[in-house]
Amino acid sequence: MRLPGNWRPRAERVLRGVNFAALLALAARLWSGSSAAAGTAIVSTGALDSALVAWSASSPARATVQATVVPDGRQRDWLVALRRTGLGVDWTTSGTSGSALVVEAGPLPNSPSRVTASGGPGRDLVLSDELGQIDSTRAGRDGIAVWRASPLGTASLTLGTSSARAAARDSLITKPLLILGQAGWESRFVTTALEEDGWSVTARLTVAPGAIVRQGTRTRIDTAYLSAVVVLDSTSELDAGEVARFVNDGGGVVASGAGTNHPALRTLLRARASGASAGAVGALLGPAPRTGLSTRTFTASAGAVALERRGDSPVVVGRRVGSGRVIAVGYDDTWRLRMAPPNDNAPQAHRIWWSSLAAGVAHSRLVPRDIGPVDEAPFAATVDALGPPGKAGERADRESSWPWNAWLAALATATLLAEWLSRRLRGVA
Amino acid sequence: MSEFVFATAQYESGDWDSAPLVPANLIDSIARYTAIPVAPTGVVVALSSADALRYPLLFLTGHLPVRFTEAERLGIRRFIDRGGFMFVDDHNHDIDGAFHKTVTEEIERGAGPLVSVPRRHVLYSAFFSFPDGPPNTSHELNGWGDNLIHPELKAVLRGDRIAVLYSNKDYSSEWSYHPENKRFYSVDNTRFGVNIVVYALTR
Repeated sequence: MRLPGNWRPRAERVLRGVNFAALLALAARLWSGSSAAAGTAIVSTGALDSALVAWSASSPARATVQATVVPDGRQRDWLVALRRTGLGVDWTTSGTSGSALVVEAGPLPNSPSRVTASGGPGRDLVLSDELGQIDSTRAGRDGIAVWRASPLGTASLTLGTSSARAAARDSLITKPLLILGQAGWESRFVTTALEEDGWSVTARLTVAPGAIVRQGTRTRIDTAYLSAVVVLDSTSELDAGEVARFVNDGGGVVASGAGTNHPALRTLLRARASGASAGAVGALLGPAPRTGLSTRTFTASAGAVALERRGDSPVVVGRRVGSGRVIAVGYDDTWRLRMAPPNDNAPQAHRIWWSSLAAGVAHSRLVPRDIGPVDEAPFAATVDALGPPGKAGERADRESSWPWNAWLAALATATLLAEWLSRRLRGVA
Repeated sequence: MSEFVFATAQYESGDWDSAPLVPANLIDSIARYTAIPVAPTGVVVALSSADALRYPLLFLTGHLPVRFTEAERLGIRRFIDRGGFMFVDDHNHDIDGAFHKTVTEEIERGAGPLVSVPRRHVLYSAFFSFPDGPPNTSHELNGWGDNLIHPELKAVLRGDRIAVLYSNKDYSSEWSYHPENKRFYSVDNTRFGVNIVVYALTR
């Protein structure tokens, strides 16, 4: 087919039109892009502090925080304040979860704190304080790790982009324990265990009728003087009314072995001994040595909670009475838990067990501590303040998904060159 | 509550069984003066055996030189670290005797340094009162042995508790007689033994 003789001027006009259209589109895109850039600020957390100062003076329309480190509490508060002035704030991060850390005071003023960290299942967690690294461990399948530690100042846990800081918010004030019992290995080793764990212990131990060995000062059974009473026999002098008042006022009682039969504790314990269970032969030398002790089993009344069982039968029972708590322990001769097991940590296990029983009932007072700023769960707090994060680089990907400007510039150049070449070939200037 | 069982420590060197009547005599005194449930007969346990941990008070005596085996040293250390109380008495009642020299070396090696027990220590008032410190024995008073009265006892401490009580006053001879013969004494000379047991059971 022959083309008409004047097709080239027409084609050149089409090329010029396409060229002008591409240039106009490119100019429009560049103009709209520059005005969008003027309204959206993108900043990483490294430069966030200076950006916050600048935004407070002259706010852009929108701000995106690219969190290489999750913003701390002060930065979060500032961003929330700016959002309330009309600034649109979002944030992006590479992580999907963060660290969290809680420090709780121990059961005694000198006890180590309980430090609980959350960091994701199987993650390696490193606990530090103001002096440096304390310990490291691997989180369990639930993502949780627990330490007994005494961090100096603020404890911290860094995981990916998130760094949690925590400190004990309060401490405990406890008073001495009173141990009542007969002279014997049980009272001797219970006293030793509690003293070793930091309790102040007073004791009244009956050696013979009228002969009582006393340790510590003589005190009334009153929450002004005592945190808890530990009763190890059924014959020690104990006034039922006095101990009932003590428990109702917030004091605690641990009755163990024969102490569960003490007549002064009958109405407080309300755990009726329903039988006896001999210890499993050889179990004292195994991994669960308490199963090797002979024990009373209880029928727990309403309101009582079985804290330990042997088979279906409760052997340690706890109950609230007024503002206080009482625990009945069925085991006999718990001192054997310290002496008999072959492993070297038997004394420690015995000590911790008895200390936890005492701490479970002891009257104590929480005293708030003056602590510096903490950030116990920075990732969760940032989600709470700014909403869920976008993925890091999401905005950049979206911007560069199709290079329109380059294509438009190339199209304008190509059409201009084609028109110029056509005109030169047909001899037109 | 289990009964208190008086246990005598058996060791491989020397003569651990040199005072066979002491356990029965002290058991009689504990039953006579206190309400502490006590087993009517004592037991003998090897120092190196895990059975020693069933009896937190061990009585150890002898005349002859003592050299503990490594297992016995480990047994003593474990016993002390867990809170056991050991009463060691020199049956020779002399300062430079073979038992004294060797057993104090072994105690210090296995359990720690021996220090003097002051006369006002609670041990001397745990049940009966001994304001002048440890009661003297007839062997000291009649000049046998080193012809000396040993005025104080020694101890290895764990914290402020006595873990090992060491005597070279020869209570092993003083208390080694049949309990029924106490009626011939105007004052029972085993009363200090009751203090030792009560101290071990209450402190």
